Amino acid sequence: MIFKSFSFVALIVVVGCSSALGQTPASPREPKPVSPVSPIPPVSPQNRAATPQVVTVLHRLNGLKMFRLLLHSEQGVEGIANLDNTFTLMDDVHTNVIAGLALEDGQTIAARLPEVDVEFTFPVPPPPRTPTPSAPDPFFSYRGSLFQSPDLTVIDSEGKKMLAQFVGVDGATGLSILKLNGKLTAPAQPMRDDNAIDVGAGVRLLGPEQAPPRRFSGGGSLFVRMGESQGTVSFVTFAGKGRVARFKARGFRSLSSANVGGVAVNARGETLGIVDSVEGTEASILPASSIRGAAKRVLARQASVPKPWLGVKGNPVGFFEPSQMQQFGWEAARFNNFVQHHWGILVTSIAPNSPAALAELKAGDVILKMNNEAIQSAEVFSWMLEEAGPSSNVEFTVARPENKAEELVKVALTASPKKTMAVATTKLTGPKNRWLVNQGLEVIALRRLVAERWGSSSGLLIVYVEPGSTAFEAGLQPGDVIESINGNPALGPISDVVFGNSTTPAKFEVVRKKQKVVVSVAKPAKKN
Amino acid sequence: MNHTICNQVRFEIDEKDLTAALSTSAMEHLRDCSECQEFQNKETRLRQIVGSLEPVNAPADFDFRLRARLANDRSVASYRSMSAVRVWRMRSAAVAAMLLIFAATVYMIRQNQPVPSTPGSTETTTARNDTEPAKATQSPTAPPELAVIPNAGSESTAEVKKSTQRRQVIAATKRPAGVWEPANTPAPVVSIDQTFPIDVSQPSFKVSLDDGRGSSRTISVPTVSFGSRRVLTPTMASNQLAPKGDW
Repeated sequence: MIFKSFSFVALIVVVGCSSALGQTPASPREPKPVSPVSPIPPVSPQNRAATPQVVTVLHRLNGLKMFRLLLHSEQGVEGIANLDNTFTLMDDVHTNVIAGLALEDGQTIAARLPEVDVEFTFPVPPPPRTPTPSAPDPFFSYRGSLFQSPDLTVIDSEGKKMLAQFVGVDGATGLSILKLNGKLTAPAQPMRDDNAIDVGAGVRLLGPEQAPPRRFSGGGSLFVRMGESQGTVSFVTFAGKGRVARFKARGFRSLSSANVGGVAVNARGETLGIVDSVEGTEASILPASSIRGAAKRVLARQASVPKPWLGVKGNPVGFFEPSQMQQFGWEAARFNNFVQHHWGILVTSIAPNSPAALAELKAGDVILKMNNEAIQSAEVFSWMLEEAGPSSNVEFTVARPENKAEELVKVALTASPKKTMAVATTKLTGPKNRWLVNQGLEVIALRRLVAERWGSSSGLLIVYVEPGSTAFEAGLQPGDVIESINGNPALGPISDVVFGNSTTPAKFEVVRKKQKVVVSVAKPAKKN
Repeated sequence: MNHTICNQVRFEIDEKDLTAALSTSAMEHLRDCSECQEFQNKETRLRQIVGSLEPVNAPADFDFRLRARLANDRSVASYRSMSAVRVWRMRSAAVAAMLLIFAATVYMIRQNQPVPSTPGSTETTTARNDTEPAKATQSPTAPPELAVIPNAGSESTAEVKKSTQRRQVIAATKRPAGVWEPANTPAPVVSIDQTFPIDVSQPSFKVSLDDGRGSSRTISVPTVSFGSRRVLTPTMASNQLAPKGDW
């Protein structure tokens, strides 16, 4: 009887297994698709090689930093009308969870932190920390100065949590470089040489994702695991001397911009690169050599490294129709012939006072070579500039619409003048806040209801003070509320009228931790 | 003829000694039943023959051999009963193995399904670009910079060099697929069950904004976001430091 019952159960199991398994493999009668890039069978979880070099990075942001992000966002903020009662300025209110890559030394982490630019601007001289009061108001209480290292925690593949120190961000690649205050539990897998990246090779894309909640988990916790998606290398962009500038992978089950920053590894778990961008179904991946280069630049400087700046906008010549070229002075027939035989970047605009402008590059010029190496694509051009670095001299071979002969143009690259917050430059240089931006301050208006929590009737909340600015030197701090300047209420628009032609310092009436303070700020030097 | 009586009489004939007399009822029955008479005669003759035989001496090792034989028979019987248990165990193990396979299959299928998304998380894949690998690879899209490159030959050295470089790039894209042999990978295997708790007890960022014209709106940011997507400027390019086409 029992045996018959077991036999019945076994029969059900066999039927269930066959129906479940029957969903995955293709029918053997169906012909396999023939393509240049054969699909790679997915690796079963049992066969996935461990990737101890892929870690989870937690970047926590407090209320003040979120205000700064808000100011720089596209939200069109004029002022804060209300806040939750539970809100405290210096407590964490948001955590970004992203993949990080541990380099071979086991202590250096490269990660693409999306909100890292809230932490600083270029350059980043660390200012002296101010001591915190002994009995702080809960609203202002915080773990340290705003200028302290960003709140970064790294969780390795074994679940070990470590604090990480922010070293800097590499402007060319957008990678943040961190240093662990500890060692990984397991040694990091080596990074694969770029020349081993082949079209059709399998790519495992790793990144943290939310795990289903555990049944007996307490409140206030969220479970994270390392998610994985599998695809194949679809394209390799080579730079000069056989080096890989970027490569692309596709065939992932799902791909979105949220995958940017994920770590790509091969079947053996060796690092191939970090996802740089996602376009449609393809992920563009920064190869291992570029990651090493970014880490080397930042570690050598022990600070952020700005992106090398040329000051041009453009596209590869293949993007343009001959008819479009007439506006740049090219004859359609000549350009048509030209594009058949040349690669290069067509310059569409030049930034004023940029290195390109100083070298007399013009819109319509086609940059064919850099230091005598052909520019085969936009990625290759970016890679070449990245390799050259800021403050370097380069030589371009340029084709011009009016001249059939190629010309050599020498350009002295500089550091990018852009702050890391690209949006900020347009939002904050508007007429309302220009003066304060020049002063090195970023402020956001507080309406009455909110300002009362700061002990003020209304004013401008300082969310950032640029290190080295006159405001910084005068001692203005993030979290201060400017009530008036030279007796004029700081309710919103502020202009240069505050200083006028006077050279005497302006008096800032400030509320700091519910105490009124007067701070004298010197007139900033005129900027070009 | 009463078979019951015949059986009883024959049983009595079997049981009685050769010289003992039968019961009266049996004697009466024998007088009337020829078959039972024949049975009695045969039985008596057989007993007389056996009784006339010389006694036979058992071999010296008879007892030992008999015990050995008995012991052997007992062992075989025991083995047969053990074998039944073994078969039963094997069948149970097979059922258990199948159950395990079924459970593992269900688990794998569930693992392959995407985790339910949360706002601002990695799984919030608004533009879900599910692509079958085979389908995706059937029509590989070459980047525009390669798509416009003609294969026109040229005679100058520079052109030849350029052409060589071009061939290198194109050839590179056509290199044979790498070997994907996960079974041969020497690296340790990753556990798929490793999950780590993170503290998300902090309040979320919720703020009412004023646009300066009297209207306000509330912005709420999730406590946790996954991946390299900006929480307040999601439309902004993820690589804000190195935008494409801007050098």
